[in-house]
Amino acid sequence: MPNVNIQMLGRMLIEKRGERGIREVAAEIGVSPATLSRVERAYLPDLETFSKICQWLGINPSDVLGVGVKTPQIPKVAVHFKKEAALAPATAQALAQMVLAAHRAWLVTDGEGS
Amino acid sequence: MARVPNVFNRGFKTSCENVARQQRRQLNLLPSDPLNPWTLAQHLGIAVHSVEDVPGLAPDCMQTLLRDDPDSWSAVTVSSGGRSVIILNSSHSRPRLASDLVHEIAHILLGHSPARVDVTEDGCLMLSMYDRNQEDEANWLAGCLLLPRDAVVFIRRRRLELTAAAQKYGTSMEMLNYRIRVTGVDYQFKKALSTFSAGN
Repeated sequence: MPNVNIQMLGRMLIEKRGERGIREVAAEIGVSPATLSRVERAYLPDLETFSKICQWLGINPSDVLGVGVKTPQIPKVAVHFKKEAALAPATAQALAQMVLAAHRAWLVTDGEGS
Repeated sequence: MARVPNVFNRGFKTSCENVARQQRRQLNLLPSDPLNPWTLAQHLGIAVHSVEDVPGLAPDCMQTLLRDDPDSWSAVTVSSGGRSVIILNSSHSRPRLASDLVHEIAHILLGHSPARVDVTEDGCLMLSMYDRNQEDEANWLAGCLLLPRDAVVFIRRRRLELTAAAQKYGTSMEMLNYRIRVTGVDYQFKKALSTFSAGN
């Protein structure tokens, strides 16, 4: 199942959950109901939540992450959030841009690719 | 900060107080002196920036991170080749920035591994979170660095008014009250006072 994106992940969750309650399905997946609700609304989960959801949906995480597609070099990064377990897509994209720009500007040394 | 962790490894809390003293000593400060997290970062060779400082970051990204959704993130540490850069969410208050900064420094001092990161096909940043134990450890060390036990004792001995004390140490009232509570300084003062009274 190539080229699944985060929006599609949310729709797939809603479809598979069907008439079942969000609490029941969240417990089955092993995430909080609030997090599941956010992912259904196309918020970006952290990697642990993401892999649990992929497992429940029976899909390969690399289909969502686009492994094999050319992506910018990703630095080793540590991020501290306030409390959010899932991020709005616009925030996740802005954070990605900020991390990559900071890495390019301040941490890439001569001879290292960008 | 509000969550009090259940268990640390034996000796962890003492080692954090020692780290707070050691860092102050290296900065020629007394054990009870306020510690400016920006000075500490500089001393440790860690660059600290705000979102506005990031070269080439598109204005719409700044708008998202600082105005549309500022509460979803606090700080980001980007590490590569043994160097680290901390980017703070400059929409937050000064005490909160100090707390966020010292928390990130604590992760670095404790040698915690950076979280794994992936970028999705549509350009979103997807991260693994620090594990809960590492978050608890960083929170504890951050509290010790900002308000070590020596500082809490100093505040109580001098009977500093709490708002003035929070201002002096550059922390929030929440952090100050938390440190007063978890260091047990008030309890020990009361106990010492009752022992002294009973002896007279």
